[in-house]
Amino acid sequence: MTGDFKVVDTVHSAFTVSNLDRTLSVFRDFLGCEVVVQDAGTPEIVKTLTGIENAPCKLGFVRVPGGHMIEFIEYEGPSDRGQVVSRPCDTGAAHIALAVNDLDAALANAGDVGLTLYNGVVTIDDAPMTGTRSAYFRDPDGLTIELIQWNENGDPFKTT
Amino acid sequence: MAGFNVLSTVHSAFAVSDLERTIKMFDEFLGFEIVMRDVGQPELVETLTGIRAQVNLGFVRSPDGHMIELVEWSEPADRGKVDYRICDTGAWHMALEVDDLRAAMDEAPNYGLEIYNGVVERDDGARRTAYFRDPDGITIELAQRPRSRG
Repeated sequence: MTGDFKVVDTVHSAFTVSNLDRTLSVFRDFLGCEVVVQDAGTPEIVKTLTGIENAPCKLGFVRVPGGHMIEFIEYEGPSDRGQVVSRPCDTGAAHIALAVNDLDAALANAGDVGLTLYNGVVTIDDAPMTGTRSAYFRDPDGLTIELIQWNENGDPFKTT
Repeated sequence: MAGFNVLSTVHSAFAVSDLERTIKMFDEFLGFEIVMRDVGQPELVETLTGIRAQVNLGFVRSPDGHMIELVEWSEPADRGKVDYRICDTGAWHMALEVDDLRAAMDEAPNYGLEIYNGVVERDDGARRTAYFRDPDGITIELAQRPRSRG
């Protein structure tokens, strides 16, 4: 670290969504996140931050079990806003990974909430992660969510 | 009831064009810990994503413990670059709290980070905040709490 400032906290990950209520219901009812607050964004602030004019928006914040915050933003303008189309291999593509206690149950129910499995389920065959399983899902907005079920050793990177 | 529970957040992940450049940015500019580098196996990548490719992986951890996975794809040949405005559905960013936004803004260009537009200054106790974009299109918001008085 050479700088004159420090990062002190991760505030949130954030995704732009087309239907805030739908996304909040997936994260609350399917993924068990807490909906912390819903708010209206201010076009003046959006313009200052991003340079985009005429962009009113609705905000929703959810807290994932364990504490990480995710911000969802539904823009209601400008009228020429589009949809990001990406493959995981395209530079700039993003996903978020969550640990679950039962990947098979998640797989069985994901379709009911609009999550589509990308392809298949990976089972790691490499100690100490042998038996850890993982799958990628995509929601209707193109948001990629990876669900991971750790083996009995748990998260190998967990610090505490 | 969905029949399962989410236990925790494992990581946020970004596809990058130059793993070492991005690791350097997180390490030297943002003070993240470099946790490990690894090589992803083409078979596993294909099972997960439907795309057969070898990838180089880097994991960096924020000072408060949030893990970021950086993925450098070397294939397929027709891979592209995500082009988006922040208002486009599916766009994303991540926000980090810093102790000195002005110092961060001064150093950001040294790491290829460009400010989107301006700094939001708040008088309601909310954080001062600005959006930056790196050469790969990764959007990082840096925010600073108001300084406490006395």
